[in-house]
Amino acid sequence: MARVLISTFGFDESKVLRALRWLPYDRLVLLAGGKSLREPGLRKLQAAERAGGCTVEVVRVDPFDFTSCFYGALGAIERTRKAGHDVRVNVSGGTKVLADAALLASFQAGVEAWHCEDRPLRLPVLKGVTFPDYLRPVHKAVLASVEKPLPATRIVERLSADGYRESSVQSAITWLRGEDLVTVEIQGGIAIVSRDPRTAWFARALL
Amino acid sequence: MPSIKSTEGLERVVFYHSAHDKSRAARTRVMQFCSTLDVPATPVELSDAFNLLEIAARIRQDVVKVRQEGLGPIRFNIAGGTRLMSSAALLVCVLEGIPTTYVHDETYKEIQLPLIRMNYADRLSERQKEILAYLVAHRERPPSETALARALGVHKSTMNHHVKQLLEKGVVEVAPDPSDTRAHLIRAAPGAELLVG
Repeated sequence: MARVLISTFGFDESKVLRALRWLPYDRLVLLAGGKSLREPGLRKLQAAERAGGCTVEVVRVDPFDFTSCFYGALGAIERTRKAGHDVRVNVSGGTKVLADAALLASFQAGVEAWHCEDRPLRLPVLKGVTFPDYLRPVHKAVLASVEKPLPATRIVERLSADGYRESSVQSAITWLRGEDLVTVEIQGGIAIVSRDPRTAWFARALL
Repeated sequence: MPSIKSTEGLERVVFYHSAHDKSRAARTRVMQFCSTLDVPATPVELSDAFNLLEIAARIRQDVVKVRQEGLGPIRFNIAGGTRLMSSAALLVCVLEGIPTTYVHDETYKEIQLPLIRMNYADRLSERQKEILAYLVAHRERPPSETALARALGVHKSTMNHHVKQLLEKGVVEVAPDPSDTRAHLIRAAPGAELLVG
């Protein structure tokens, strides 16, 4: 099992180099984007890794767009884990948005997160504990069924056919609404359930 | 400021800033803005805006206090401040399950990060929380596994099982005992205070 270090990266390679010194790794994945891809810092890091017989994978993100950074980080974590590797995330480089999105992705996926400045600091992410653990199967089933807005009655019908009790589905809709993961709007006397447009990207990542 | 404008029924603003001159100047502007909206505002100056865990501990302490006073619900905008202030605020929001907002640097568009309103530490069992709380309280003099079992009235093998699970979750560390080369000490990982404080 290879140890993969996923690190946020901006312009300053020293922030990543500190993490490389403290956190043992076999492969390096950088989350970076924008101008930082053309800066000497990235070339220096790639050269240093090449000299050590390693390669650097760069996952491109828009470093000022939270959603892009979050999906970039979560995608890199999940791909690496699927390949059976051990993952750590370092959030000390890059923009504020990139660092925060990578931290949130680490929480969501339950992987070690570190901040390496003057000393390596492990952040209190519980390894192996993921956000989807907080959702019951019926919550996930409701979220999955509202990829497009649907009347609540249709959701109940669909999920009842899958073996869920009507009352469980209804209380799941209420719970998800309370968590801002779905919205319920009355249109022509019918309750329409949809993924909250502001949070649809996050809800998708929970499934 | 976009979050202050867009929050319906806003009753109170608490904001954190560094001791930097620019940050203090911004504090004055935020106070003026809140005053025009007739919303009481409390600025909190952080003495070290680059110490992630210290900032997180301060924010969490305030969040707990607000909840104890029965005020709320709370909404957090994590976009401002230093990188570490922002990350510290996000940490607290995840741990405490607080709805969180990000404001885009250029477009000022708000993004909701709908963190599930959970107590993150609830993924630890009551016994694990008890062990972690003990280790946090005894951070200066970490116990051996045997001493820990004795202190909490748990059988040694049961304690070994809990310590293994806490190790897997990454919230405790094992270090050699400097006074006995055969023994090991169990220590709470940095930041564990945020889970059980």
